Amino acid sequence: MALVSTRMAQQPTSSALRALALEYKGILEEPVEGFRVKLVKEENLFEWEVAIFGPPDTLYQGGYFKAHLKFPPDYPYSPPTVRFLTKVWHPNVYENGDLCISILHPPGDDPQSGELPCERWNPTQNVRTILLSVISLLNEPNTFSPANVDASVMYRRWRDSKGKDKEYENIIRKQVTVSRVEAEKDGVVVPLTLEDYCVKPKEKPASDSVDLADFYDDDYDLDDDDDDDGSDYGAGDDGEDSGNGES
Amino acid sequence: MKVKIKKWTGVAVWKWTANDDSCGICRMPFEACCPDCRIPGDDCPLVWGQCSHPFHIHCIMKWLSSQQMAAAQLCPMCRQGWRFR
Repeated sequence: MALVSTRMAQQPTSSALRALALEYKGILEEPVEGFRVKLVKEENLFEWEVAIFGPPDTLYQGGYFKAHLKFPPDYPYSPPTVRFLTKVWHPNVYENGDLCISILHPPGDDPQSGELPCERWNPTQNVRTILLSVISLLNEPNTFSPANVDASVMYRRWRDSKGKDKEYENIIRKQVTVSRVEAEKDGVVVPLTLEDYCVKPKEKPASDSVDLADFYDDDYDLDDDDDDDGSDYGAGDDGEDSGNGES
Repeated sequence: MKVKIKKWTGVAVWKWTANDDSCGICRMPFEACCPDCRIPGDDCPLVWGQCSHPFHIHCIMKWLSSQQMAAAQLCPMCRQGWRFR
């Protein structure tokens, strides 16, 4: 593997793998509303593809935005990066699609950015919190440190004119229209009403999805069963497995 | 009826007394150990911050030691300054 971070070079990636496997499984079982998640390549948990549905009653309504999440080998001690594959005209998205958001920045670097440590990455952040931040940022750009200055200026004109200056709006709506073609290609129906958007699909992950046993080969019963008696860790017959042994 | 016990096997269970089930950093159950350890329990104990948030000691130490700036030594859960309890 070519990716080696300096500080934690000697650390095996098994802990990152474990954290990602847990998160991936969790998200498949209980999806974040407004998102679809899958792995870019089935055998690689360090790259996820997410599809973001534009939230109803916003400019992004009906939109279908794809992005790649790339996780570092020392995740969750370092943040993943998020890059949009779909064209997104947004104050906090760079020309190349990279998303700029404070919770994806490590606390240490770039002290001049004006971002407080408490707004930055920390290891209890996870894909769920990232995705929710992304969706709220879509509709409420941060114009204090824009990645796309033109978009930021245009957005402020739109906002300050209370929508009378339609240049920003028109660009977004056009991108939404284009993105719908992609959704159709993927066979995805983008929810348009608040009701459809919020309904959490109860369906279990398709059987052809990744077999997590490949990644997470332990005996813990991580399924959050309906009867939550909270007493099942390690209670099985397979007793002595600490849950941390590599297999 | 008289019963004569010929042999018995003691069984004990243990559990950390924490408000949460799993470590917010490594996401493993507290009763398991951090990903760098193999044996849970005293070899991979929990620590609490003054804010009362528990973590595996190895997980929180790894995070704190990666933060050079004192201002960034925050509890990952509540983002208050981290102090051991």
